[in-house]
Amino acid sequence: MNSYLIRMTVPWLCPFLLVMSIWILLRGHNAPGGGFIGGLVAAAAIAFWCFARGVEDAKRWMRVSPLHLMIAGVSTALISGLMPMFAGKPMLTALWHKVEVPLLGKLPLGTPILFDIGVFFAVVGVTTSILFSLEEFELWNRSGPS
Amino acid sequence: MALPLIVVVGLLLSCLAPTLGRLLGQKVAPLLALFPAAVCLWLCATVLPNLDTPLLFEAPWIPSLNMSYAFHLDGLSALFMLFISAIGTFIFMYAGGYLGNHPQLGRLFAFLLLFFSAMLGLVIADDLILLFIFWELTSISSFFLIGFKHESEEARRSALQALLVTGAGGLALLAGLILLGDIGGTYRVSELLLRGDTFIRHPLSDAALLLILAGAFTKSAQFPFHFWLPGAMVAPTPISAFLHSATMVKAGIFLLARLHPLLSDHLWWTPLVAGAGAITMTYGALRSPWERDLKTILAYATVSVLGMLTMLLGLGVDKAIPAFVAVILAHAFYKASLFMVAGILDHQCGTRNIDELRGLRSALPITSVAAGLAAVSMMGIPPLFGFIAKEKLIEAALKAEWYGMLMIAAVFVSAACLTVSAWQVGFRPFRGTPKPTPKQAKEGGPLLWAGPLFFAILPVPLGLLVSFWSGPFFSAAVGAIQGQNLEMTVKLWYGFNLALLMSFLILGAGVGLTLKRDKITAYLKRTVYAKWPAAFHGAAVFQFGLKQAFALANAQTRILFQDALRHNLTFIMVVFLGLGFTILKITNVAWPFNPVPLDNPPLFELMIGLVIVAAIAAAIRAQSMVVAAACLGVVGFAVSCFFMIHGAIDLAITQLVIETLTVLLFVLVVHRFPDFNTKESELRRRFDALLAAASGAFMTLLIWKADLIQLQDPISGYFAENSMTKGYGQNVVNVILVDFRALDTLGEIVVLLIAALGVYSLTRQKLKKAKKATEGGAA
Repeated sequence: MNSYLIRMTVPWLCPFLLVMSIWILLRGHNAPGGGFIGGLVAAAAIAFWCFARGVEDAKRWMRVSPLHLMIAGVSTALISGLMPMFAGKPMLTALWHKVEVPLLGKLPLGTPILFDIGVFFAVVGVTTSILFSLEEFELWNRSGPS
Repeated sequence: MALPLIVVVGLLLSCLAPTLGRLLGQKVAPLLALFPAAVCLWLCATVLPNLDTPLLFEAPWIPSLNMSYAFHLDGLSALFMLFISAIGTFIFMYAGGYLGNHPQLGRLFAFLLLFFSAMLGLVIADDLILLFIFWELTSISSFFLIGFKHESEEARRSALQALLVTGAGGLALLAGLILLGDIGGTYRVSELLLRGDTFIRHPLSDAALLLILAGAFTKSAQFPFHFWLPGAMVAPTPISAFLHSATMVKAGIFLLARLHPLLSDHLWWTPLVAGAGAITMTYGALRSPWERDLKTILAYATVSVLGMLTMLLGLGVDKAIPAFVAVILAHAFYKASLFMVAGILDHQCGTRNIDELRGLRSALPITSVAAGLAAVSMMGIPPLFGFIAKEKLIEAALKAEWYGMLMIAAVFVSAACLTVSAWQVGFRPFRGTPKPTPKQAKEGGPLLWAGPLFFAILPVPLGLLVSFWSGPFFSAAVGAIQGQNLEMTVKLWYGFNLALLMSFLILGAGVGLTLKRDKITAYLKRTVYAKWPAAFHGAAVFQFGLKQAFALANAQTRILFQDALRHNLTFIMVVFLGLGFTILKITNVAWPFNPVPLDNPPLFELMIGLVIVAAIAAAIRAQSMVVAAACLGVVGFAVSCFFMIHGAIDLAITQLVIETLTVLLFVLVVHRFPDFNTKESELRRRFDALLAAASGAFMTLLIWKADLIQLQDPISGYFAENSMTKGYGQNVVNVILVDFRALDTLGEIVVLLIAALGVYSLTRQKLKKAKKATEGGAA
């Protein structure tokens, strides 16, 4: 996919996709969306970048290593599951708090949101990690053995 | 609160240890040794004076399964905790001195701390499942510690052997514990122990007893499972000293002691436990003194003492339990000391072969004092604590009702042989004229000799002052094992009695054997060792079995899985069809051939169906892999339209994005597939088509049928009703994912993580290998 047009479009399109993925993540509790879908969209954006501008460039753009990202994601989900235990409730019980947020009014914030964010990062990390691993392997296969 | 805190702090330190090791190098050892030291001091300062009131802690874990984070510190736990933390303190320092600036010192401490915390957790757990989890954690950390020198094949093999033996026992134990919990109606150990009567009368008590014994015997290296323990000696010596003599192998003993009030009234308890213990004790003692490797001598001596402890628990006489407590304390101290001495000899002289170690008294003065004192305690010479342990042991054997004469004989022979072992390790290397060793022998730093010296000197005051300190301590420990409150004291001197006479007779026999040891060794080499085929050794039998298991697995894999994915698919489909039809035939299911009447012709569905059929046809006809993949992508998109029509928006979006990513990934790897143009034979293609059509049709029928069956009200109604009130969300799907069924989601993302790590390491491995090959070629 060595097309000039795509290469030039990607830096405009992908950030937009990422913002959209976060929007999908956050709206997920009340409207179609959520961490899983949001994570897939974000992963698709990174995959798009990777195809257009190469895996090294995509890694630079991501800044964080996919491995770290997925470990952070699973840990976040796990921690959100463990939090209720400190409140004396069984693991993964949802805890909710109404929090006053400026401009937005009272918002219910709870551990399921944190859990969803963990799912988001786990999905992004896993997908991009598989993608990068395969892509790097392919690059080597194409150039390597000779 | 202190009880879970100790375990949690230990686990956290375990996570930090690799980083600390990198930053601090050798200094990490004394620093981390502060943790077990703190535990030990806390125990001595606050717990030991108040043993009458056990410490308790409880927090809910999974209330619906009756599981809780319950901890309970009574006399038995205190006994174990005391020597675990005391030995741990010095082992941590010793490990620093032994491994020096080993680059992976941090890793060693991570596993050591994991083990230490798990072991403490094990002895204070009051919930059967919690206890089991700590039990398994000790097995797993032991696996990593035995295999610490993972470059060596022997280390890896021994680690796997130990893991498989203890792991298999662990599975049996889990089954046994669940049975026990079921019979008693509670998983709380402290409550279970009060229900001995219900247990004995229950028809499943036999099975529970056997399963628990299987777990305990494998863990504590009882005959015939003893062979993994000498194998585990490939681990660095600090680990052998800590795990494989002083603590982990006593986990099985601990379990037997913990459950003693419950199980000991069972008819099979005495024959099984005392029998296995006596055999193990005698076998280990008979093997030990004639070995040439210091650590092997000590390993068999440990096997022997583990058998001794098991036997004491099994005898079922009152005198046996105080003897158990005394032996376990004495053994923990002298064996830790002797193991560390063996490590020092290995470290400073470069060999562990006792034939090469002579006259080291002047080169290693401090070590020789430690070794001598520890050996004297092991021989059981007054006034050291070992003497009291031995006398208690003899008293118990004299009182034994079950095969009393045999028990006395076994104790006599074992104790005499162990005297020889003590001599071989504690005195022999230091006596005589010095012999040159592979390394110029000289005393190491205090990190090395502090531990052995401390534990060698400790039995002296312990023995002399025993009647002043031991009362409450012994009463609490013995009381916990017997399941009753009692008052007792232990004294050094009971006057002239039969036990004392026996004790000196044993010592005399030991001295006699020691004098003749070289002749006996030569004789054994000529006769027993030469004639006893190597294939009969436990380890050899085990390795043979393991090899056969691998061969079986390989053969099975060769039949079921071939290199090509399509063969696997063929196999799966054939089995699916065959099994499915057979089951339906047997159960006589009525086929849903009367179609459900529809009010409106489903126009949209029909159109999408047409698109799917067309896409599939195109995929079959496609000349290149990429086109075929794209066609399958169309199928996926069409399916997502179905979801959309029926209002499953989330599903539709997910399907769309997944389909996109799948096609992308497919394009990435497509040219790794075999050439698309090399077609199968016409016959094979027809067979494939038939098979595919048949499984498709069968699946359709199955779903059709499943849709008509309604066993219970679907749960979706509950989710829809409670989504807003309990989950604060209007999107039911998401509320299910992150709240109602969050555990499933957590499991799924963990599976994803593992899959991604698999892909990462597989590709990385190949890349690394290839890079090495090209570099090698270039050079």
